Amino acid sequence: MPQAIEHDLDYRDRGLVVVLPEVQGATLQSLPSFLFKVFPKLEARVVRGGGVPIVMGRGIPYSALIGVDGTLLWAGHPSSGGKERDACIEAELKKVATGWGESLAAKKVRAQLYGKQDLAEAKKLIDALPDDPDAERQALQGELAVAHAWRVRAVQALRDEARFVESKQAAQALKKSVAGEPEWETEATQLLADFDAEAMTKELAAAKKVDVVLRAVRGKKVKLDVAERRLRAVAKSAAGTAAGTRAEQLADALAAADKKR
Amino acid sequence: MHVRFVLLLALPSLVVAQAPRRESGPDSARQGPAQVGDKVAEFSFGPMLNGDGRRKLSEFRGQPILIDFWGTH
Repeated sequence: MPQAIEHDLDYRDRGLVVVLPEVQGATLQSLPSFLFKVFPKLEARVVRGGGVPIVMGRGIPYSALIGVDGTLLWAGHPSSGGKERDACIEAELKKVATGWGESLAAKKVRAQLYGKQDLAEAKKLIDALPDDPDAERQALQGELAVAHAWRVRAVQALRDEARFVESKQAAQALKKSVAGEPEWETEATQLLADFDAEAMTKELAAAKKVDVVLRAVRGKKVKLDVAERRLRAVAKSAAGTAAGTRAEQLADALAAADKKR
Repeated sequence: MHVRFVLLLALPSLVVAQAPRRESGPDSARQGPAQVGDKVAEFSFGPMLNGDGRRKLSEFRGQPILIDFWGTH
């Protein structure tokens, strides 16, 4: 777990996704206080339950690396095979940047789609491809559709969790990634415009304050009881907003974490 | 009694022996848990903290995923 958290911090900007499934029955409600107490630096995805269809070892901790194309590349105890695993990660991150595939065309499309995250340019390249017997064009169209769909959904998913700052950033990133593709651009512009509404401005202001406190906790720049008090103050000043409710919940988690010390 | 005990012990190996043979080759998405070198079958992660709404493996295509199983106890 500590190694995976470090990998998340070291490689996330280059495209590595770190997922941490908790497999001993913790609930999503109980996890935040535990994480604040034991792993305050953690920003990676934490999942409740296993259910990953890969070969498993005899217990935990257990780690696995899935490549850019969904291939299981490495599996084992986190402290074993460190160099081999890290070399695999580096090789996969190179693929993110430069693309991959059997043809040069597929490589170029994926470099735009995943490396530059330029969905509009990837679409232009795909549209220019001839219909081929290997259905490469169709496969790339499918990948593009999935990549576009989750980016649109992410804006709402983050908003539903009252993570308004990240939601707005997702909308901005979406707009940038589809620039030049009119239909997608209109949709992204509307998603972004939603953040100009008065109610949303209040949510954003409160969410920014919450994020400041969370950053301080993750950087160990503030004691948990102080962070809790700051979040309670945000919750009070932003009463009636979703961001205020989140601030209260996070304050509760910090209070529980502080009690466990 | 003794015969029943022996049968119970032998049952798991019989089940394994009867399990369908796995096809080899890195490109085939297969039944059962993926081994190193296999494509991992589509699945969804469970409820998630710090996510962005993506749960299905296919939605992470284009990014390597490091999975680290752990426990709170």
